[in-house]
Amino acid sequence: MSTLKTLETVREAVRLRPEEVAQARKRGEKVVGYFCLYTPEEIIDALGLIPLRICRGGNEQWMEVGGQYTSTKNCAYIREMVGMFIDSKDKDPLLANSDIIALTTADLEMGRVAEVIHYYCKIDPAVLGVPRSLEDPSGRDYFRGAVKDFAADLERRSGRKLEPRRLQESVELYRAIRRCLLELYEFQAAERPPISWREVFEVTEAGFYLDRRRYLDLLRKLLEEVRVQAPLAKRDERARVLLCGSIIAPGDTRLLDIIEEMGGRVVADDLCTSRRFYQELEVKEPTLEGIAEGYMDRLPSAHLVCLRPFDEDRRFVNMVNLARNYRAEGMIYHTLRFCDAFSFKTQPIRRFVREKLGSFPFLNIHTEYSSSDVEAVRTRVESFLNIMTSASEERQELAEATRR
Amino acid sequence: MLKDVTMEVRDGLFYFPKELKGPFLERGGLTFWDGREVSAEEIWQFINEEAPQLFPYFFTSDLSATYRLPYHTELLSSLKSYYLTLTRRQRTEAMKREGWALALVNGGPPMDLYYGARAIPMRPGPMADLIMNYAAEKKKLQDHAAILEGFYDDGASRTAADVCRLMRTHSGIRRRVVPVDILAPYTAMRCSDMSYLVEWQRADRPDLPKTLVDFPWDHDPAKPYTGKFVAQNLRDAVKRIDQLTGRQTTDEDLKRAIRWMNRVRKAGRKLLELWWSAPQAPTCSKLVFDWGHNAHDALCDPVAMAQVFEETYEELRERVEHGIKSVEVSEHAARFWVCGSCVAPSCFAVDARGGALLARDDRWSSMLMDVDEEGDPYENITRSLQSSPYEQIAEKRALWVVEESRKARANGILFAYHWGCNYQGAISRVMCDVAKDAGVPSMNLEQDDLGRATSPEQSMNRVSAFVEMLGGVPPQA
Repeated sequence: MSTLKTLETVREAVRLRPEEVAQARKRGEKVVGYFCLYTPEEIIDALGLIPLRICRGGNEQWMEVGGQYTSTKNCAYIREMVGMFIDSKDKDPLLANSDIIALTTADLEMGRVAEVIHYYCKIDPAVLGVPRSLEDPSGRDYFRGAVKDFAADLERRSGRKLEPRRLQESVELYRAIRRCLLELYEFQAAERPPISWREVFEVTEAGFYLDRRRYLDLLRKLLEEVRVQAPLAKRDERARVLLCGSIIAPGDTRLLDIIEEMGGRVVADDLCTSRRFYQELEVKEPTLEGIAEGYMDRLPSAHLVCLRPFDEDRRFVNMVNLARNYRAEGMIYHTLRFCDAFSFKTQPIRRFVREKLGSFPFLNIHTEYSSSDVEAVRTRVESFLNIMTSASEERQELAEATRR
Repeated sequence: MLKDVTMEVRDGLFYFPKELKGPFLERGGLTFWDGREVSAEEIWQFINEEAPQLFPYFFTSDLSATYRLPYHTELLSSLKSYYLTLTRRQRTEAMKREGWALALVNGGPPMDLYYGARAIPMRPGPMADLIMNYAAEKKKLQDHAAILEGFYDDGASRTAADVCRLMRTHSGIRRRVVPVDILAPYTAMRCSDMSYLVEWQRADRPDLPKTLVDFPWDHDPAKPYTGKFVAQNLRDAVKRIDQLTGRQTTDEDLKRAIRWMNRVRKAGRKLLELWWSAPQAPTCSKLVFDWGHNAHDALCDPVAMAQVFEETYEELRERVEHGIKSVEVSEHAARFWVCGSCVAPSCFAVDARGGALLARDDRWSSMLMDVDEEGDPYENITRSLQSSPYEQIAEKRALWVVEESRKARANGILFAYHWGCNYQGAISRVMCDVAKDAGVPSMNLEQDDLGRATSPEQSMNRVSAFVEMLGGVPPQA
């Protein structure tokens, strides 16, 4: 049980949310279930629709089912998503309550998910096309067109019209939410953290489901409580881990549990279900063009392509900055099986990080949603955290010796 | 008209029998893009003297090999195809000396853009062949297999264990085995990994220019921004190639390439349709499959390729008119159409087990993508790309395959994809289920047998079962 009362309130709200959504639908409201962080939630909210980020992870059964409808050589997360639709379209409370499914093609395999669920589940998703590069001028033009199309599609499906005033309110709402999350994130990395990274991760996930206005209210209360608690917080001397890589979706707790169990503490991440969800996303103008610009300018996903040298690849530079700014003592790079966008980058990232940070401990955990490699992962993480701790102690001794 | 002639075997290698020389010489030589000519005598000499020494693994008489010559020569013009295939290395080197750039591209799009910009397009499969031309020169079959495995292992260790086998071969680029000048594939056409492969080469080949032609998943021609986007990507790719070659590609350069590639595609289509129309298989499946490949990338020279196809058509027409059947294909062959990309079961093995391969959907789709010859060439190529039947959503693609395979009198559809292939693997079941719902038997096959010794038999067992299910009977011994 957390010492933060508001956190308990958040948890309770999440628990009650599926029923709340079901009741809202009975009153005629419509729900958009979406997956990817390139989905412009502001548009969904401005149309008076309920956005739910329904991505899930860690479900071995769904992954097995999905592999039968795609192939066993698709990314574990993709297989799981397909399995979720095939197995639980009408049973899972979030999925069953989604009137419109929205996907993007930032991850090309999600385009295939759209095709597979169209055939087997008779679902016609609203798809937002994402070009391979959002930094090239032509790609940016494409995305502007795609966002406009996406908005028009949602209007058609919902029977509602996007109003400028509502769009402005939504943009301001989400801006406020992101600012709160960014501030909260800073507290978790402190030497005496009043809130843990895991708890912030949980709060971020809560924002996938809760009514956004209530969520903002809860975030503000949580921040107040955290500020009060901060001077009283205890020192946390566990090994400080930077966690990067493939999606760790709600429900996929295995690696996070193991890190904590083995004596580590995540202090920074670039996960799309955590910091990257709200990092560097600034919508300056409350228009469709402004929303498109904001989403294009955010830190790019690993699914997109960068052909510039690594020093100019924002994703690579971001990882090094996170390690420095949050004083990480080592990095765990998590990749899901057949998640090629991330796997292909493992070696280059390792080299880049070491080039910039010296002998920075780096561990790649390559896994899927299966119980069979839990102990193997646990052994690797345990050894790695020991290495991190030893390396950190050596650096401290060296620093002291230098001072003497 | 040539009656089927058995290859001569000497020291474990196939040679074309001397009795073919006279009729072959009568057919004349080849003319190339740059106006250069090669005589039939030169072609004969290369194919019979030089090539078996350079590529013993291709001339092997081991009938279990998949990448080899057929046991019977059925069409004299096939010698010219083999000549073009086996001189890729010499010809690309000569073209590079004349200012062309060797480009890694991907399968699917019209190659017109590259030829127009004086880039030699090399798809992943032919690039793997080219890498082996360099790395396995003069090596026998077993050594060829071992060298190829070495590339796979190196590629996997540098990228990821899960990566598709074809992507792994490009450790040959990393290791500078082949003199590639630019990486310039399309993205998202049939393969989600090509763009990550190009990105990855930043690590080991930062010197190599890289560009991507983005062909997005949503390329709906009804959305004006998609066409504009693709056309701009084409222009940017040409600019990038021009920076390398030091030339300025004009619209007329592109139109010349378009005219020749249209001619290649048309000739290839006519060939396949003629083959399909015959009551019995007029040639072995190997030739049919080669036509599909060659119509797509023109083996580095559209002028020569068009000529070869047009000759082949005349020879094939004679065979079909005289009712000549290939001795390598059963009278009761189960005819099937292959879907997927980058991989297919061994043509020889399929024929030997009572099957016959008619076409591959990716190749046939490319052969249908003619490009308008008047007007803005970038917009014309864009429209051709957007018309690709293969790049439709899986259901529509499957229904298109059913329709096309019926025209070819297919008994069934086989969907094959590589181990590690995300993009095709994801829809393999959808494609097969749509076919079954339309009344066409189908099978889904994951393959791992590009060079790996253990898996071809597993794949062929499955294919044999499928052939049997379709009523195919092996040919008489």
